[in-house]
Amino acid sequence: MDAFGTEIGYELSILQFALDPTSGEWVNVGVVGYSSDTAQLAYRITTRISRLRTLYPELRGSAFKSLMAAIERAMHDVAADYSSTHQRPLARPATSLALLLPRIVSPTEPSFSWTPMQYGTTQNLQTAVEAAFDDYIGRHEPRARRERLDAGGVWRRAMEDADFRNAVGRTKRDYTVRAEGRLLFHTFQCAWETDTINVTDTISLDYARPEQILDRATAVKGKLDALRRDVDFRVVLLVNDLEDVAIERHHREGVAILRDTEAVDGVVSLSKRHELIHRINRDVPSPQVSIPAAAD
Amino acid sequence: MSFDFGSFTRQSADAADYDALRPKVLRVSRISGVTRGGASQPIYATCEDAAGNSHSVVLKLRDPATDTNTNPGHLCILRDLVGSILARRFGLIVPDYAIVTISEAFARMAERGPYGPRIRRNVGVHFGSMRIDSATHFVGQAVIDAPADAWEPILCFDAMAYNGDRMTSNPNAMWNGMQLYAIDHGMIAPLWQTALNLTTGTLFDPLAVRLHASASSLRSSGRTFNKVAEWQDSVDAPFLAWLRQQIPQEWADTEEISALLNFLAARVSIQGPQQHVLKEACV
Repeated sequence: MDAFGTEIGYELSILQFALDPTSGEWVNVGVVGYSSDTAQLAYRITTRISRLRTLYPELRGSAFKSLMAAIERAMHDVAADYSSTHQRPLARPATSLALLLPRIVSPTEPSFSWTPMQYGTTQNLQTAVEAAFDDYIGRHEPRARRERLDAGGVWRRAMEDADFRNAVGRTKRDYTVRAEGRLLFHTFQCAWETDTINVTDTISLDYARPEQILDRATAVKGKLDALRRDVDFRVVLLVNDLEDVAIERHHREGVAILRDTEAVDGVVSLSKRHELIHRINRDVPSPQVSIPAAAD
Repeated sequence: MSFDFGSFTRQSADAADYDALRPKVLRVSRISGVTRGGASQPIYATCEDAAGNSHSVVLKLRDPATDTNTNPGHLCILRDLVGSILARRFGLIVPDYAIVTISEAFARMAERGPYGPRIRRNVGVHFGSMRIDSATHFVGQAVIDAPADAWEPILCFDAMAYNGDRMTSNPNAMWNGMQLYAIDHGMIAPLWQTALNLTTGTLFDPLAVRLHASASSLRSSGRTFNKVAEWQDSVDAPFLAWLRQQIPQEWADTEEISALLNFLAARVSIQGPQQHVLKEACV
């Protein structure tokens, strides 16, 4: 416990927007936090309008963005003011965030409102604000930003490459590895034979929540380990490229879990699929049409 | 094509493997609400680890609003932690779990908000389970309808740990179409509910199996429940000694901890009969 850093107290409020306030349909668009301990103000707003458009199809994007830009400037000015206050020993910082909010958005502005204050402690105010932003706004936005690439999507992207298609064309497609006498099995995208059965399949570690990446990798490892107990085979896994730096560590750990699997002979990212192509080309110079079943 | 509901393999007895079972250590930063369900009225909290990273956590307090004599909060979080670690070791998919501190400084700030009194009386150490993004999960009947492959190991665990709190009406599981997460282990081994007369030899009987959330999925499935036999490897002495060290001293006295761990270890003796009951009940 002692390894934790010093706590500072903070207050936090969520900025909400409504095109028509009488509708009562408010959408979270920003977060602001303030610590009177350090006279520090931290904030994060969104300028994405795709989610707002589902509620307000008539919303003009440029007008909304310029409104939000003005609010962000006000947040910046207030933050700068109080940061300099903290440097002057005789100046008193604001005692509460409630006193600062009218300087950011005028109380007479009907399209914006603030949620009731939340209270907490943190080691880093900006981190706390980012976490709240993710809770109230960010988690609803990733799908708008880009669609998650699932395992089928990884395979389809790879198959857009003619070299990859040609290599796969020399293997046996949809090859099932089945544990002897058990219901456990898995059908891999393709297989080829050398001194053993080689198979390949795609895995997506593209999840919005980092912990899901590790769960996924561990689940795959578990299934491959279980199959491997009964069947001798080697697998090369093709995984999605990392597209979101926020999950970089978990993606790396997920790949490490996959690599640590006995049956896994390689984990190749989509952008390095040439390694898999090279391997298939080396092992399978001509098409293999008949491969013995891996079970029994 | 993708992998589906693969189950974990049991952790080996190598001490290095215990690292994967070790609870996170977090400190509460902010309370964002109270969950709708659960007798223990868990709290949604944003927590921080020592490195300053944020984690969304379902927080269970040592002294919840619903504390009762037969099921006191401190024994719930004790069993939540032990159950989560043991479930993961047994091979279930369990959300990450944590030992979570509510600091005096946090309680002072929280006094200005709606949960002040509840937080004030809970300054100290509690149990947390990492929140899984509910937007990616199915609920209700979809959980009950998860495949038998996914439910079988969970029923095996619940039978051996005597967990009667994963029922059709409240599955305490989350299904995302690929994986079935086992959550909420605060009611395993209800040794302190004296009316149950629970002993180490008490079998998870056919009625309990029929009431279990897995019942419709496993009925007529022809499952073997061989996984029950892995219990003895999951509760070996070195692991239990390590597990005991993970339990915060403030949570329970030595006798309570020993009673729980001894019960779980002694369940090895019912592996055979318990597997038979599960098979018969799911014919």
